Amino acid sequence: MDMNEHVSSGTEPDPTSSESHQETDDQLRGVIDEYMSTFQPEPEDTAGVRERILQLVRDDLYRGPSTHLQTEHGHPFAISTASVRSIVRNAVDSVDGIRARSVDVEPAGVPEGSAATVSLTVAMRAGISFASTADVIRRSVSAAILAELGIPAARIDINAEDVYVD
Amino acid sequence: MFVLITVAVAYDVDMTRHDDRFDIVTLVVRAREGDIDAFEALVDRYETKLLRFCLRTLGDRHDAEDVVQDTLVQAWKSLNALSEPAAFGTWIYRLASNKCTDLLRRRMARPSDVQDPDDMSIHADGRVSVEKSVEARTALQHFSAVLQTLSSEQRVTWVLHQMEGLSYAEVAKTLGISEGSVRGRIHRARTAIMEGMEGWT
Amino acid sequence: MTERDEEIVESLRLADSVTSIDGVRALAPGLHALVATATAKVLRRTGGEPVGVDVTRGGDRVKVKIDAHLDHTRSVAEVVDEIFSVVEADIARGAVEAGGRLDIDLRVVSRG
Repeated sequence: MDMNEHVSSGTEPDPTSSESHQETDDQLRGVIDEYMSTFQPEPEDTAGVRERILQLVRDDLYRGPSTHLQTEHGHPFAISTASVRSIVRNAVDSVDGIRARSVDVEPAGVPEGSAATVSLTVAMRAGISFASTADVIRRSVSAAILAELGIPAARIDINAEDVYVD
Repeated sequence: MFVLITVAVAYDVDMTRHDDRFDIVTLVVRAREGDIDAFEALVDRYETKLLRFCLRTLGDRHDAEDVVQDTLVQAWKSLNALSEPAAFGTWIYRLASNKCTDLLRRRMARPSDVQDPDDMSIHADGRVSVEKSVEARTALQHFSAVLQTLSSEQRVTWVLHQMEGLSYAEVAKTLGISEGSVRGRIHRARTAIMEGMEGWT
Repeated sequence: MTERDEEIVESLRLADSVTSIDGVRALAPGLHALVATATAKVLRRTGGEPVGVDVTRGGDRVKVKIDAHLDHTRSVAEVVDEIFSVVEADIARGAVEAGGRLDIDLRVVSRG
């Protein structure tokens, strides 16, 4: 900012005025742009950080909570809850126009864990009819947990909580 | 004689899931329930932006990578603390800003660790000023040094506004402070930068 | 051999049997084996991986703890049933000393 110019015109610049800011910004623009382009992340940097993050996340997941189920031959086992939810999510996602959101799988049946109760929320593509699609989702989820887990679904509750536009 | 072996890979439905196109709310809800693919999609969307922000704020690649890694891992562990999944972007910038501020404060508490120590003189009141009489220095190097004299809060706020392009309102929301505080910090930052860059632009 | 050494040898035998089951991708360190104890070190194979099977005895029980990573090739229940039969078979043929009630604590850590 050229103080002389302002002094000679008899006015004091208001340092918080937006004109004042604009002037300083313009003068600094060059060096700011140069600074910004200097500090650009390299693809290798992001790749390295990404790998470390995902490994830490995976380790954390392995220590996560378990769901307790039982095979039809009465053999009890624990399985990471994340794995169980993943099976349900994939089944829901495979239904056209539906995206799984929240998934909850609880042991059910007698003895407990011989069946599963599933509660889930979904986002639907605009235009999809929930009434007709809910059944498709149920069939998909039911088939998936039987095939992938080997456990039947006792009940499947579905809530549509949002609409998305592709 | 060639023997061509084709390996058939059993792709499961994961390959057809377009996590990279899922909306933020879906990704966050799934990630906080342990969906690592959804979390990966979030990382893909925010990592480069965060890394660039941290690089510009901290001026050091190693520190920037550490902050981004810590931020995203902390995000994974505390996604349940995010009450509005749609606000993930603002939240993640806040986590990163706080870590940057902490790191800058720790650095400033150890003036001997500051870059270009020859160019810094510590005033009696503890302020660090930049000597003008340094030969053969580019405006960019000088600018970097000037940025280091800002307080950690000024620096983070200024970078968010000036380089990340956030409006005053967005900066205020990100940092969890009032717009008035944002204005004040930016004004003080500009003043310090203009003083420091006098004669260089 | 001490009783603990014996248990470790049995763990290794069971680990061999369990890892050869279709659908078992790998064994994972049991949660308590993650603690750097002498047991964990002894359980390490040349590959450097903790075995993922832990046999312990207490009172009138034999406890077999297994942490496993499965793949997608079979349903989880199928693999679980086979793990149980393999462990029971190993006990029947004396690879693991029988003794009272058998408790199999099986955790599927991941599936992928």
